[in-house]
Amino acid sequence: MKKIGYLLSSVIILLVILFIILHEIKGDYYRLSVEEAYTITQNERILIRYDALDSINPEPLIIYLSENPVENSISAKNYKNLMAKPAELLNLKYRKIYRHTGNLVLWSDNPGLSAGAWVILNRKGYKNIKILGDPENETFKYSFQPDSLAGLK
Amino acid sequence: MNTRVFLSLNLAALAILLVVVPANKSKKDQPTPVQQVNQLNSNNNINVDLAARYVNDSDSGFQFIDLRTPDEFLVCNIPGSINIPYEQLLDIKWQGYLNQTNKINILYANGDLKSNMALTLLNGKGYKNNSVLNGGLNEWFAVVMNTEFTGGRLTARENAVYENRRKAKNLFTEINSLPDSLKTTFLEAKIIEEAELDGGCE
Repeated sequence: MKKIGYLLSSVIILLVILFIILHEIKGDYYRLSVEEAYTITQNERILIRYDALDSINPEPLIIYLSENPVENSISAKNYKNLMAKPAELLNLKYRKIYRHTGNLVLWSDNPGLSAGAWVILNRKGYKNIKILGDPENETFKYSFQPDSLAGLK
Repeated sequence: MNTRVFLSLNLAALAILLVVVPANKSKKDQPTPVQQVNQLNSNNNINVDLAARYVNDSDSGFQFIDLRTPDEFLVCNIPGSINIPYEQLLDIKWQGYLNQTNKINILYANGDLKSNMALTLLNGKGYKNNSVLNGGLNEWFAVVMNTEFTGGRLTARENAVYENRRKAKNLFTEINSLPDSLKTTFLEAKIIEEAELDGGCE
């Protein structure tokens, strides 16, 4: 009876450990809620200019997101680079790299892609992520000239 | 070691594992990270020419949502927009607009960052029917508001694109040139009308 008890609880423990290992490998869960990630987007300066990359310590890893990554398209050659297709962003090999890198900088020809990836990686629990871009693009660059006759029309 | 002690130790180990393992912060109806990553490039974003067409047609299947501040919104906005400042994005009062099945929301801000973050956050909550205006209001001004006829020969297609932009530009200028009092009245009426149609809150 005693032996069966030991065996049963050992099996349960092993199953739980196995489940946790599989869960970690698959990695298909979020650590932060939408609300927590939303708060971070409001409080953090997310965009960083190319000329400010040197100020990041330790040296950042630039993640270039593109459907068709081409070696030559990377202009941040002085830094550690990683080219990834958006769908591969959460592959296990990349997740291992993120975990061992202090600072991540996302970059894409499509700024919307970087912004979406930023939210997803933050919710996954990766910290110190920036987006390579110009903060000027997020301010209104034009001035609207009202037409004084519009009301009469 | 007797069985009771062994089982107690096992339970304690399980409890520790539960504390150590991160909680899964997504619910059943919310997409997983892998699903969201696959959505990243789904390209359901809308370019300014298409947006201009929706404005000209007053297409009721689309709702423009301006994520900028109320002050910025009052200076100018895309005709037919309602203002949901990014700072209030997850307020319960806007849930009726952002999580509905009647129309496609087109989110925009000045650039691409805020609108795409908002889109990913809303998708993360399981809200559907949201999309983004590519390039935001800066792109709208660069393409639609700065459109000019330079006198050259146009193909039928180029002419259609030009006409679409010109009409949208005129409508934009006309509505945004209204006195502030009239503009506010128009926008308040628009929010009430949308709330009634969608069953949202005022």
